[in-house]
Amino acid sequence: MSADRAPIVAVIVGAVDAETLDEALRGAVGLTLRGARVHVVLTDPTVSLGPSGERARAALALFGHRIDGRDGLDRAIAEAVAIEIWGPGPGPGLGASDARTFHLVRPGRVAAVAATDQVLHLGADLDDAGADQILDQLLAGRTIAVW
Amino acid sequence: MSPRLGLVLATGPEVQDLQRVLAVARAARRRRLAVAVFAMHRGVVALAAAPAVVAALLDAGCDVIGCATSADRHGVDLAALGVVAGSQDDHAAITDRRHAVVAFT
Repeated sequence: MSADRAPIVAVIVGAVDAETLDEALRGAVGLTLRGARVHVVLTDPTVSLGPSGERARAALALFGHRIDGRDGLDRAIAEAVAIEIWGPGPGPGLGASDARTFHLVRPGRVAAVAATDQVLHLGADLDDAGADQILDQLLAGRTIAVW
Repeated sequence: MSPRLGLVLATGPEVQDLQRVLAVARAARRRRLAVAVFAMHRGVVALAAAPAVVAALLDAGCDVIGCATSADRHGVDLAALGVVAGSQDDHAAITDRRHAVVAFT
């Protein structure tokens, strides 16, 4: 599989603790092991990578994976076949949702895009109806973003 | 759409995502979709904190894989939970383009 044709997995990392930041980037490297392209978006403008994170970032960059700041968020979500969002997002108002993405918003979290009808706010419990709604979206070919 | 669902879990028990993983997994199994769960980072702590939920996932016929590196870091005995010890290669495998993915990270 050529790198240009490989599917993209978006790894969006918000303001998280240092260990979680390292793990998100270690996971991003892991995601590439079967040929996926990774688009990492570091939404916290004050982010500071430690040695492990820097190694992961260098490895990703060496192999041509995108690493952006928060201005890369819309593109990452729009192009991804799978989305990992680590930690709280950057807050609302960064962009508009695309039609192929369905957003799940956990209690206390906020979607960073202006999702309209393609959003499900999760409570403490996810009942069968909610889970079926998520399955319906997946089977319709939508990508799920869990904020 | 391939009949397979990948679920990624990286949050600890305080976020309560494991219960959501179980709900989505059960919904998928009701539709006869194969389900694989990959837990890393504090997701393995969430597994250890809720062995009954892990058992429910296994009883539902889901594959449950934990990152061995994360398990070592957090002192989690994956085998005692009935969870397969895996690696980042499993993470890559369940986010393959042929699978639908929901990531609770």
